[in-house]
Amino acid sequence: MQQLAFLSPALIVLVAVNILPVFYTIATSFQSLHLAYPGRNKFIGLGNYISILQDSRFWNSLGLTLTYVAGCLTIELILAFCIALLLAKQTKGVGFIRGVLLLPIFLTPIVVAFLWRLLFSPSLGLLNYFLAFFGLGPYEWIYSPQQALPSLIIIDIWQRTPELVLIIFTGLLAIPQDVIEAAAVDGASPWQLFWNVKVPLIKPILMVGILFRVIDLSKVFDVIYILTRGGPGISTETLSLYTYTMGFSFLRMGYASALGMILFAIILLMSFIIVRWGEVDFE
Amino acid sequence: MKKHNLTKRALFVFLVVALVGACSGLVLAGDIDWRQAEGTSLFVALNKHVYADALQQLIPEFEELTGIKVVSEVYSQDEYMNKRLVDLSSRAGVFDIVMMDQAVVQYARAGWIEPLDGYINDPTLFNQEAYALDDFFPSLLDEGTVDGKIYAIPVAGETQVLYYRTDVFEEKGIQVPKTFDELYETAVALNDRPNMAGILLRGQKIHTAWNSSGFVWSYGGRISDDPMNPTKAAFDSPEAAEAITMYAKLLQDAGPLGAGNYTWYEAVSDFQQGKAAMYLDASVFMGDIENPEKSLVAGKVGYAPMPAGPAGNIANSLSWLLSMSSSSKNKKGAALFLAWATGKETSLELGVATGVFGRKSVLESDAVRNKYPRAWSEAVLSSLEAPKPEAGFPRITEIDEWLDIYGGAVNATILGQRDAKTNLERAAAQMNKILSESQ
Repeated sequence: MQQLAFLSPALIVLVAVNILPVFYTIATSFQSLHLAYPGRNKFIGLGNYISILQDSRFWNSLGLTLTYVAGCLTIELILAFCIALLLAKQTKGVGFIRGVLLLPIFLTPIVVAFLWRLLFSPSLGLLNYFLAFFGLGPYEWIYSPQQALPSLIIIDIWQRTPELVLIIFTGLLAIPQDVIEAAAVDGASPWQLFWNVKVPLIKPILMVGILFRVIDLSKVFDVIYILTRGGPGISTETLSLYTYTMGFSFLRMGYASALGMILFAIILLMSFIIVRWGEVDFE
Repeated sequence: MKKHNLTKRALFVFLVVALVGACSGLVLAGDIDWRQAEGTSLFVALNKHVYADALQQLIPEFEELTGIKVVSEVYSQDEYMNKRLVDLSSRAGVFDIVMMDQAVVQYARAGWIEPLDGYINDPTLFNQEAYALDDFFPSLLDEGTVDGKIYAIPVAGETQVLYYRTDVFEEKGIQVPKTFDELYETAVALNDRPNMAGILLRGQKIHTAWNSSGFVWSYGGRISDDPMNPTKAAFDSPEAAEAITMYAKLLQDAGPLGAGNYTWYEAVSDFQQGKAAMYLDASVFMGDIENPEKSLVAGKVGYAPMPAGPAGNIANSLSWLLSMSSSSKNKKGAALFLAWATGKETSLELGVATGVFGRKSVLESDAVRNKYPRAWSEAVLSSLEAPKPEAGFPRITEIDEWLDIYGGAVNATILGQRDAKTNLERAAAQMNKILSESQ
């Protein structure tokens, strides 16, 4: 009883801020709610969901979101492994390097977005300026429909790879040295050592890292909103951006709630697969 | 000793005269009782804008005049739009005065903002003669009028003008273009990418909507069927297609690299850095472009009215406006604030400080004309002369969807995804569906 009393402030906040809005959103997703016409609101069953399935802009945003998640995650994982393995061999200045690596994570998304906006400018940007010395460019970066999504992936790689580096690095340090030595004595090649010994050993912690990255990447919003607003056209309009536009620009809250529920379902499904397949143990 | 006394007396007489003068000045400035809401408080929510910054500086004067305590907050645009929507639609009533934009129709019809005619016609709140409603530019006042009622008062008007580099034009011996065909030829002739683009225009989806509407009108097209109460899109006409083709051609053949995602932010920075010869956009950027601390081209810029199309030169205009929240708990104080902030004197003071205007008298005043380039105020007056056939943004609740759909069609044309006709026809069909559903 006393435990519950101590927990109650947190529980009340949790219910008010997290749980209630979720149920409210579920309810709204079955309504036609348009914020400018609150009087016309009515229950329309699966109407919003059926419209969404026929909405080409939704499929576009879903495709972009999945491409973005897959693109960022793959490259970040490869880079993070390379950096972490190098870092594990390093004996001097590990703390310093680790600190520097972590710097981008500390920046708020708005700062990151404006920073890269300056770098990406086709006419005044530093990137094109420096690339010109190597005879490259000028590139349009976030200003062209083809280059915009890759440019956004570059930003996330720059900012978020360190997160995975840290997780993998910690995992590598925790591997018992005798296992590695035993494998080496048995004649394992460096690749076998990596793939058959190290990776399986750090898999549980790695999967937690991947899980967090996937959830984060799936709901990416701030940086894209500031940099491209989903443009040019709808070439970078991810699912959460589309949801935002539908809800807060077009005021179609019913439709936006349904989109939100779909994004929620997708994230839930992906998380479930990762937890199952990665044998993540939260205990 | 005697002499000293005399000085003292002279000083006293002077003080009395000055005091009486000041008091009578105050009375003349507005016969209304400014202190009728003394002791109350107001929350003024502002969008980041030169006008907002300047207004904030003057607010202590209002507090002194009325005894009303004012809290004012300036938010960045995206944050502001969200806060305004949440506060007004939920009727929380935190904000008393809000800065308003094209969302005015949505807000007015939803009943979130107060119709102001009743206040303006109340002689205890507005001194008709001193306030002079007819001093506002009609096209700007129309922006805040919904279904025949004034819901918002224009404070920072803008219209389309052509910025050009006088030094470049002189060096090349080129005349300032007066028509869109001349504009295209000049832009192509001056185009020297990546050093200097021929012309800058906004290309980003939402941002193209306002700018390209002026093109459509000048080519004889229309955006919607009924200027006051649109029921159908009209931008699928051959005239509109021709106008949008020109808009896209200018950017494709003489615009900056990546023009398809250019907002005013990129365009103004490029122009300030001397990366473009011409720039057709809202008149409000003169302040940034002529600021020698930010701009390399200050003092080297000429101003011309909107170029003419086959149907003449019809520039778009818009205005930031001030509105009163319907959920305000201090409507009398809010009305006094509007009377003060949009009155002749404060408007002039703000106009001189920043170059913004909603009233003719501000733009025609010597103080403004002497401080800012004369060519600019003349270009603005000339661009504002031709009456617009429709409001700067269609008078519909679904304004954001129009921005997205119509702007999307212009943007797709700029990016070379299909031609203007196809894009506009598709967009019109989408828009008609939305408009028929909202009836």
